[in-house]
Amino acid sequence: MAWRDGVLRALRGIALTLVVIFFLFPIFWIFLMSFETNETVLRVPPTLTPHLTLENYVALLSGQLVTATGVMNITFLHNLWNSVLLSTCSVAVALILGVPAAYAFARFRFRGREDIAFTLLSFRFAPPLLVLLPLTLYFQDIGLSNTYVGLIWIYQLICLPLILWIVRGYFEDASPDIEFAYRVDGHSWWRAFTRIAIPLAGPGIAAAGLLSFIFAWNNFVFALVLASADKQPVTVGALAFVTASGIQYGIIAAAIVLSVLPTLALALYAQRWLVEGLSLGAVKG
Amino acid sequence: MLELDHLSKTYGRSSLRAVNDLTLRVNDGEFIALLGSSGCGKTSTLRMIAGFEAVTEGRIALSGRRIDGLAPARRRVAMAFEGYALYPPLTVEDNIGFGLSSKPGLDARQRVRELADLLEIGAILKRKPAGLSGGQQQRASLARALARDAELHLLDEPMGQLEPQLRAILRGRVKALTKARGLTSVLVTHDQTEANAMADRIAVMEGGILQQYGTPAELHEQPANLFVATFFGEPPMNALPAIVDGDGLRLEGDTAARVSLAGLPLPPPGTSVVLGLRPHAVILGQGDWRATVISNHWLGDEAHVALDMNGRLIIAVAHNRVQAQTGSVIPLGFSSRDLHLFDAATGRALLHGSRVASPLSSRT
Amino acid sequence: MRDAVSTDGLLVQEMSTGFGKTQVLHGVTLGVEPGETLVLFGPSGAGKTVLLRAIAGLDPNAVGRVFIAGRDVSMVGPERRGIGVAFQNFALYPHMSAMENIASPLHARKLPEAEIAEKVGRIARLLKIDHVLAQQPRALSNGQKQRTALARALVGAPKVLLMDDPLRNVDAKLRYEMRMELPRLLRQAGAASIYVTQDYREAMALGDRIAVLIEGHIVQLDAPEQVYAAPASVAVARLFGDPPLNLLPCTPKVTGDGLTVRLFGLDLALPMAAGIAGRDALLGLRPESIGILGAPAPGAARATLTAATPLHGKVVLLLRTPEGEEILASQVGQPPETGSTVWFRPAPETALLYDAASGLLTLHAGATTEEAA
Repeated sequence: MAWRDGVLRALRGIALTLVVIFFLFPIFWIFLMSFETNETVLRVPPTLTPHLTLENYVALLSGQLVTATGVMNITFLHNLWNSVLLSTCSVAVALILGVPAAYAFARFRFRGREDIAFTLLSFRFAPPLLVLLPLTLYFQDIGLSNTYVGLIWIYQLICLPLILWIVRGYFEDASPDIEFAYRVDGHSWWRAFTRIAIPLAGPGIAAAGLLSFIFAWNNFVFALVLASADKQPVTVGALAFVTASGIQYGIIAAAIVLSVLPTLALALYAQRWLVEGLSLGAVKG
Repeated sequence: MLELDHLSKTYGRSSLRAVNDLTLRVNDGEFIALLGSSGCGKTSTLRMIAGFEAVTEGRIALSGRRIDGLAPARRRVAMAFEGYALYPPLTVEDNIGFGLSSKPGLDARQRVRELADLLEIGAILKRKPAGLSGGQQQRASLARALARDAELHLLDEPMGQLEPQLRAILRGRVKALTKARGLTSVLVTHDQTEANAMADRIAVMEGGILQQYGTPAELHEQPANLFVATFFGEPPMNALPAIVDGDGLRLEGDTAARVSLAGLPLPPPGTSVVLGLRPHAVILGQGDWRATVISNHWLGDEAHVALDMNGRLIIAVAHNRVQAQTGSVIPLGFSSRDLHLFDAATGRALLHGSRVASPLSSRT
Repeated sequence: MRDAVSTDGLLVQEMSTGFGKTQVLHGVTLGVEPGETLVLFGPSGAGKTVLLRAIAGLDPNAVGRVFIAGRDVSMVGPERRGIGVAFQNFALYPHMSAMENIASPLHARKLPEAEIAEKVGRIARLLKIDHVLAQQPRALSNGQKQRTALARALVGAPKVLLMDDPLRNVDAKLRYEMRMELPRLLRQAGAASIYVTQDYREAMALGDRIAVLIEGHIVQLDAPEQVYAAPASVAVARLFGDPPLNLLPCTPKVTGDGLTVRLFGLDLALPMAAGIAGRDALLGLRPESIGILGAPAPGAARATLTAATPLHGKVVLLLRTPEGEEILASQVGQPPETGSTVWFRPAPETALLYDAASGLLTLHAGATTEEAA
């Protein structure tokens, strides 16, 4: 039946290729666009021939865009910095809060445990629009509008549920006997938590942290509404290229490429951990 | 009849063979056991027979039909999984009866009930798996495998979760059931008591290789090699390194301990051998050897005595109390009928009592 | 009841615990002297592991007092009780080497590195794992993991040692070897030890005394031989013995000075004082005490041999009487032909008599002042 195996393998290969093309083509197209000027981009029929230029990247990085109507200052690099700052700090705070909480959910029994856990998880699938309007008003009242602290606080809605969900699974999978043994040896509860529980849940924590970082980075709506120009991350910053003289597709594409690069690099570097972290933590036998 | 021909299995790109050139026949209506410690290849073999693992080399045939290329569902094999694998939304009754089509002459519900009563789970037929203990789930899984009239029944450690008492009772019942219905069965276990009690023949495996395939009596009285000899029996067989000297043996490192075996076909003088002696065969209180008592426990119906003979540990079991204090020196001996001799280099059996070990006694 | 202050070993008083609405332990009380090994024996679900955890301080729901070397540690966390625990599933720290695992209790006490290295080396040599100290648990065999776990429990010279069925996950050959080594090790360690097992032979080989725990109650606390010779209840009798004890329903009658029981057409004279006469009872006969004969004899009844199964050097015979009763007997040597007729003589001298209603042992041969339940 060897020939049958060969045919099956070929069919599988073709199917995979088609799926890959389907998903990767838009990304490839954007990548290509980032090297083209608006004129080339908007030409009909579209063309794949190289007419490449680096002027989009130069404009982004230098902070100046020369258009038909004059020179425009671009704050892209600053937006990039905002993204880094917001995402990193949000994940850090979420980890500090979430990991001990996940441990509590996994190890301790208390009334309402599952209800609380579910509520926290539900933040993940509640539409942000639900809370945006009231939030804007409250934030203005308490003076957190357009502040890093306010945004980091709101970003917990994105990061915390993920961390709780994934890391709790990891703590549940690890046998509590190992921590018991450590305590019986003479170490305090806190040392058992930091020296045993956390290292053993390491892959899960890393995966959860990475995923949270990616989701925080990609967030658009919260930053759009609650931040003004100087605190905006790249997701919102790209809107600036929708100018009076038309949409600067090339620059947008370049901005997208540059803003995707950090998370893409992270994901590629840690992809094995991500898969392991997601599948192990999520499947609770 | 189940035929395994030169079956081998390697995982991934590893060159390590989990199953190595296994050839084996199971006759219709026979109940055999694959016995060995964890990692010996017995579970891999079972999974290949069931169809959950691809065969790397070799072939599997059932009732003359080659099955190693077929999907599990097409092999007409029933299996009781070590991890139970019950269907969560169905009750125990529905689980057991799953796949039992109504054939003429077969009352499915009746059979399910009888099986459940046999395995002592009749009271929980209406419950769902989630509310059951490990032992109950395991018995439900076993009942499910036994309910069908398949050509082959595969049982993967089917009673591991049960206490010794219940296991002993259920073993007898399951064995009787398979005989009454003429079911061909393959049991995988690491528990020799279970294999001894249930199987007509036992295939002992280690490191992926078949060590010996025979009846429990054959394995016990004529073990093909040192591994099988020390694997069977509790306490394990005493294995004493020795050297052939003249018409007898001399224990290694102990010129005083000699055994005269005149008239028996011994290997050439100087050959390193291992003298095998079962604890029950050691006679305390008489004999040519002397040893110091390390411990003496009366375990209700037998005495287990551990002795030190010049640094060698010898375990003896007696069916009456032994009056020997720890630290005292007592004589011990044995009958040459109970002696086993193994080649020290290969582990292969040379002599059992007065009979030369047949090199063919280990095969299919 | 021992004086809590004077005991140098372990004293557990009225330990009860459960979770939700289920009560698992009911007022368990026991004491262990230093150097003594008390075996905690019972079927699965009896509460043995739960009791060990309660003694170690790992159960927040436990109520009851625990005294170690005269000190009341009931309110103290596990890290300050001075105990060593060997878990059934080893519970080794996977991200540390065997050496670091064993050294853990010594690190907790902040001993100097040189002393730690010396102590760890010594115990590793004793348990024959000194050559694998640098490896991580995943590279060790089950037997090595078990000995590493034991080394960790012993290295700190604890006053109390708790071992939860440590040999259960070890293969048969190694299990027997360790069963021989353990008593010597434990005696050297000098701790008050509790060893949990479900295997009665292991219990008899390792225990100075055996505590039988059934459904959260200690039903018997005796020397091993006593538990075998006179199990306190039907439940204990069924667990202690392989093949298990025969339990035959009967109604004892008073005759002269003692009791008679009519079974299999025989009148068996039991050498016990009267007490349970007239009530429903169960006669306990050990398989090895039943004599098998090839020909009729006084005091022997007829039966058919329906099955003969070898079991570790003896043969277990399943006999069926003409009335359909099944009896297990065991003997050494070649059994008669299966299906043949044999004569068996039950031995009333070693018989046990249980009250059918309560399941408790009423009298046994040799009991002089025991009263009926």
